[in-house]
Amino acid sequence: MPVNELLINYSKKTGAQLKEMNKYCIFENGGLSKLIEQVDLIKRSKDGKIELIIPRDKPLIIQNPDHEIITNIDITCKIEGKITENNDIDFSKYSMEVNLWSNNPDFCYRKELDSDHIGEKVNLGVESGENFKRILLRFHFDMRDEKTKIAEPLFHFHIGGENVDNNCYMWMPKELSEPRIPYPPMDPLMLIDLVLRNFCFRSSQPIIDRPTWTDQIGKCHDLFQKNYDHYSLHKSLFSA
Amino acid sequence: MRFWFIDDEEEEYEKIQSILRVDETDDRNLIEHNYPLDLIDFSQNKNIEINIKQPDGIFVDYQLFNPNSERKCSNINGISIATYLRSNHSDIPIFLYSYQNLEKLAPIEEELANTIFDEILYKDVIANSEHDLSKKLEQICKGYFEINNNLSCVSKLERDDQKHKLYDLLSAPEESYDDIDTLLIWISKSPLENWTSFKIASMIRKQLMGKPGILYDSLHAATFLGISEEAFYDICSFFKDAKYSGVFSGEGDFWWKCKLMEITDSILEGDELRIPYSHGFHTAWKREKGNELDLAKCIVKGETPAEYVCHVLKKPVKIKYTLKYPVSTFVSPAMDEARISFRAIMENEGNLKLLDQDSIEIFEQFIKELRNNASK
Repeated sequence: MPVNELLINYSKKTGAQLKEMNKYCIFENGGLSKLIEQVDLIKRSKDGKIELIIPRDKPLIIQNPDHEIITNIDITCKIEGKITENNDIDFSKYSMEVNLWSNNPDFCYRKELDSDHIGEKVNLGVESGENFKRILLRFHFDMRDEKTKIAEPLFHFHIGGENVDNNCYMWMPKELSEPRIPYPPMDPLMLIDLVLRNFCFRSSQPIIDRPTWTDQIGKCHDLFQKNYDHYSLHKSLFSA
Repeated sequence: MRFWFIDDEEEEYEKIQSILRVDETDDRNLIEHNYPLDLIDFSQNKNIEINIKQPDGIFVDYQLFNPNSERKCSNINGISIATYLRSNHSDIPIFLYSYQNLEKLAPIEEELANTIFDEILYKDVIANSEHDLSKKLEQICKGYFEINNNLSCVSKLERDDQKHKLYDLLSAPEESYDDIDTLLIWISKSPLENWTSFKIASMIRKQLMGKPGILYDSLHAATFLGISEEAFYDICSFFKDAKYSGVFSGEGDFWWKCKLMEITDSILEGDELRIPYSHGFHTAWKREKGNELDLAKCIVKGETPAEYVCHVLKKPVKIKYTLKYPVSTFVSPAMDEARISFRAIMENEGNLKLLDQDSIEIFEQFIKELRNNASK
C-alpha cells in the first residue's frame, strides 16, 4: 500500500505545529519531543498505520496554567488505528486522559469529605514545603470497551475514572456515576488545543489563534472525525 | 562629545556640523574631519592609532573613493575601515553614514553592517528628519560610557557577578532575569565571557530595545494591553513602575513586559486573569477607573481588540490575520515572533519570499473567502 497522501499531510503539518508549540515554554521541557517523533513517523507509514502514545508514566505536563487553583495539567493518550480506503481512520485503540492537579491545601483537603489520612498528608506537605497534590478533575476521551457492562457510545467522554495509582487521590467520590457522553475522536493536537483554550488561553493565545494552527485543527477534524458526528455516536449507544 | 568624521567629502563634514551643532558657538559636539587615507593606509600597511585622543563616537561614510589633499584615493569602503576600527576599538560607538538612495546597502551588506556599526544613519533621511540626531547620538555615547565604566572587565569577572552587573546596568526587575538569561544564551554560547562593550551595547540596543518581547515600546505595550497607543499614553502614569530606566533609556520610551503584566494583574479579577491581557485589561480598567479606553483596532478587518503588531506595517492586528515572517534566523524564545499581517501582504509590503507554502495557502484561502463574501 503506498503511503497515504492525507497521512503525509497530517504528519507534516501537525508536526510543524507541534514543533512551533515546542519553542514556547508551555509544556514541561522537551515534553512534546516524543510526540513529534511519532507524528513524523506517520508520513513514512507504508501500511497506513497510526500510533500516537503519550504514556501515563511520561505524560505531557503543563506547569502553571492560567488558573488560580490548578497547578499543573497532564495529558496522556493511546491511539492506534489505520487509514481506510475512504480516507478515514479505523481505530483499534483510542483513549485520552487529562488530569487537573492542585497543590492548594484548601482544595486538597475537605474536612467534611476527605479521610484523616489525606488531611495528614496535606499538613505534612505544608510543614515540609513539599506540597501534597491531588487530582481535582480528570477527563477521559475513550472508545467503547468491549468488556464493559455500562452502555457506552462508540466514542465518548466522561469525567472521573478509577485511580491508576495510590498516590493521585481523586477528588471525585467513587459513589458518583460517570455518564458517558457521546464525543467524537480527536488526535493529540485537537486535545492540546481543547486544553489550552480552556486552561491556558492567556499564555497560549499567540500560538493557538494563528491561522496555521486553526487551519490544521480543522484538517485534523476532517481526518479523525469524518465518520463520527454527534448523532451517529449517540445512535451507537443503543447498539452497545 | 568628540566625534570623528571619516568621509571623503568636505561638504558632508559641513552638513554633519550643522546637524550636530546649532551654530559655531555651540560646543556641545566637536567634530574632527578625517580623510580615510589620513587615518588608515591599508596599501602601505600603515595604521594610525587613534587612542592618543580617543573620540566618543566615530562616523564612517560608506563610499570613500574621492582623493584626499595629497590626491591619493582610498580603495576601501566604509565597512572595511569600520571593521578595522571595530576590532581595535570596541569601546567606541561607530556609525555608518551613507546615502540611502544612492548607496542603499544590499541585505547581506546591511546584515554585515549591523555586526560592525551601532547605527546606520542615512544622510538623506537625517536631513529630513524631525528627530534630534544630536540627542540620540549623545545617548548612545553616554551608554557606552556607562558600559565601559561598569562592565569593562567582564572577562575577568565571575559569571554571576557579570550578570548582576548587567542587570544593574539595565535596572532590570528580577522577574525579567530569566528572559535576559535566555536572550544571552541565544546570542552567545558563553554568556558575557569576553564580551566587548560593543557586543553588550548591541545586545541592549538591537535585541532588548530593538525587538519586542522583554521590553515593549509604546505601540507594542499598548497592543499587548489591547488598547490604542494614544490611550496607552493617556494612562501610562499607571505603568510608571514598568518604565525602562536603564542604560540607553534616553533613546526612547520602553516598558518591561513583566512589569506591565504584574501591574495589570493587580486590577484583574476572576475570568480576566485567565484570558490574554489584550482582552481583559480594558474591562478591568473600566471597572476600576470608570472610563472606557480606546481599543487597539485591527488593520485587516477593524476588529477590536487587536493583540499583535504587524512587523512590516507596525500597526495592531488580530493574530488570526497574521503569518509567520521569519526575517531573522535568530529568534530568542524570550522575544515575540515577527509576524506579517494579511494587510501588508495585500499591499505587497515586506519580503513575501520569506513566507512558507502553508502560509501562502492560508493567505490565498483568506482572499478567496473575502471575494466570496464580497460577491454575496
